[in-house]
Amino acid sequence: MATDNKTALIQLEGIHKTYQDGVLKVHALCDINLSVGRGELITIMGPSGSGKSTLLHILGCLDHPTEGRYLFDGEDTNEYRDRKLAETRNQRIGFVFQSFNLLQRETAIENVTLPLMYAGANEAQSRAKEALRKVGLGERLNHRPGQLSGGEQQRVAIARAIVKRPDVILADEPTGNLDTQVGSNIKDVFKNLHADGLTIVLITHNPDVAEMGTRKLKLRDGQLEA
Amino acid sequence: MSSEAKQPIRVPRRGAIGAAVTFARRGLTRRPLQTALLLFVLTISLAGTMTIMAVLSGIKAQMFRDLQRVGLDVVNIQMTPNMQNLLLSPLMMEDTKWMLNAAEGGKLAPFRVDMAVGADLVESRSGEFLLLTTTHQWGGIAPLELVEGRFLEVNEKDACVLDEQVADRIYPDRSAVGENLFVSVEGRIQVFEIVGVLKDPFAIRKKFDELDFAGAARSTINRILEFKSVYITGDFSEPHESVHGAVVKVPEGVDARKVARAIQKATDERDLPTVAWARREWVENVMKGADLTTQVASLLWVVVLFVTGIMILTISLVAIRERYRELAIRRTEGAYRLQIVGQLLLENILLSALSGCLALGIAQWAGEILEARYLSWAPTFLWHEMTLALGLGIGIGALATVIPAYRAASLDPVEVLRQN
Ligand SMILES: Nc1ncnc2c1ncn2[C@@H]1O[C@H](COP(=O)(O)OP(=O)(O)OP(=O)(O)O)[C@@H](O)[C@H]1O
Ligand SMILES: [Mg+2]
Repeated sequence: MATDNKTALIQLEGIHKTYQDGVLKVHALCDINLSVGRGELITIMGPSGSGKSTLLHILGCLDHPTEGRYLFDGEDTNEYRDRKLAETRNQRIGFVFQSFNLLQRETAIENVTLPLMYAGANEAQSRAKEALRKVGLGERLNHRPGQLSGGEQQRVAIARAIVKRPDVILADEPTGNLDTQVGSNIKDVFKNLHADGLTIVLITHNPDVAEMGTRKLKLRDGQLEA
Repeated sequence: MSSEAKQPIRVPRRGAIGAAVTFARRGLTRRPLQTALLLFVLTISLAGTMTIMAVLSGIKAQMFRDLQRVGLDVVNIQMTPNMQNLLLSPLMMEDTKWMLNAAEGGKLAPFRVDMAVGADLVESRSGEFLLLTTTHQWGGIAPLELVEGRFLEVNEKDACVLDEQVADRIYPDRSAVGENLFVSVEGRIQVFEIVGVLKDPFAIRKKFDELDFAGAARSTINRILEFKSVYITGDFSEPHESVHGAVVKVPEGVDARKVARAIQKATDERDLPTVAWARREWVENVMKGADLTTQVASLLWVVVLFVTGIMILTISLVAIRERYRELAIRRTEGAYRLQIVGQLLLENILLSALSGCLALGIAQWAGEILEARYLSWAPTFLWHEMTLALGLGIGIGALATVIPAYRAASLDPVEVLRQN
């Protein structure tokens, strides 16, 4: 899976991110250059506070860098306005978070159809069912998150990420809230998705999980180490 | 999957409205307590507003019906209101000639008023009243409503018509019609056969006189005439026969106000202590007074809606704050700001519309109860007013939602998810 700069799905050039925390300036990211090609599974490790989530939010069009250029599929995301950013998140990027971020009052299937409904997509129901089956949750469609275990909730979140058939899945410590056994099941889910050809950027504290990456990156004090 | 992964889904957004409705419906049904609370507040205040509107419209409608009964194309000519004029300084019958000229060919009925006492020998009951001597024309000019019997006919000498209150006093438990009434005026006793009972024609005017701010002075006359009346006919054929006033029916197409002014001018020139006034003018003044009163009363529902707006705003602020996390997740999953605002707005509009329907039902029910127990008029539900109430309800709800909704939609979803 060669990373060709021309066809790179994700291209970061000299990305900086600073937060103004009162009088204090926090340099969360410092001169990040990164290129992700289609089909890659990139794992990022790094100590707490090193800027992993910040990086992922920028990749996910949830946040703008303070400085630098972010090309998504060749387009400069700096020029995106709210609607275009939302559309990109809605149709091209799948998110999986440590804390699942499911809608508590909606059932598994309703959570999974959510992005499709915002897209106005057809066959939302059948596609959501298929996605849930794919993550091994074909039987628990009408359960609310509160009625599901942590591992099951994370599977719902993954189903929600893949149902839109995204260009890339961004996962922020997807196994962070799960015990080892469940975590390794989730890891297998990602492995299968990657085998299906999905591009994945995955942040983890767990070396076991990081080990499956086609490229393994380390972040320290806002800077990428080889 | 690998080929699909490379192709972003570019789906048509035609399902977007259906999705918005689904989200709004779920938003309401999955928060039963909050929805019920908002529904309750909105319904009660809308029902209150609608009831107030209907009660006020009902008064006006009822007033209008009542006022029609005083006869619009009629000019009253009366002695200026003091007891001395009323009893001692009568006009002469000949004076009515130039009055008629001023009335441009209207029909005229003169009258004389005397204090009298009447008694029924069978009942051995008696009562004081004003004996109103007039011509049979009176009934055709000033619209009179009969409770029973008929009005007087041409030169019917020995017949009389009682007004309801006199009839009730002397014949409290049976019909007065057909009985003989002994009437004593200044010691002279006469017997009249009662041929009819009238609804008190002054009762309507008395009811509305306070609203005639412009003609407040005139109401003194009506207070003097609050005495109950018994009508008999006279022929007023002698030029020097005394009269106390006249009622003129203005011909069709002639402005009663002009006639009243012309007569007033003529009597002023002759130095006669009389006032002439058109009933139409009086009715207009009363309606103006009523408009002013109902407009002031309308403040009531404005206040109700204002308070509702503040309550809804407060509830929305809290309710939407509780949903920050949910909304941030929706933003992450691709809802743009407008969709978030739209969903919250749509939830509120659905809620307002539902409240509106419930409120209309409750208001109608409340109106019926009010009418049955407390009011002498029927609350009137006017389409445009109910639509206005509903529109204002929806508008206020929407306004109270838009502000917190816009604030919520503008929050950085990353921040919200980090903090919650
Ligand atoms: N909104 C913010 N305001 C101020 N500082 C922030 C903000 N968001 C992140 N930071 C700071 O930026 C730095 C990087 O944060 P980030 O969340 O990216 O770390 P992380 O690597 O994901 O850590 P963890 O492993 O604990 O999740 C931290 O020092 C953090 O305090
Ligand atoms: Mg983090």
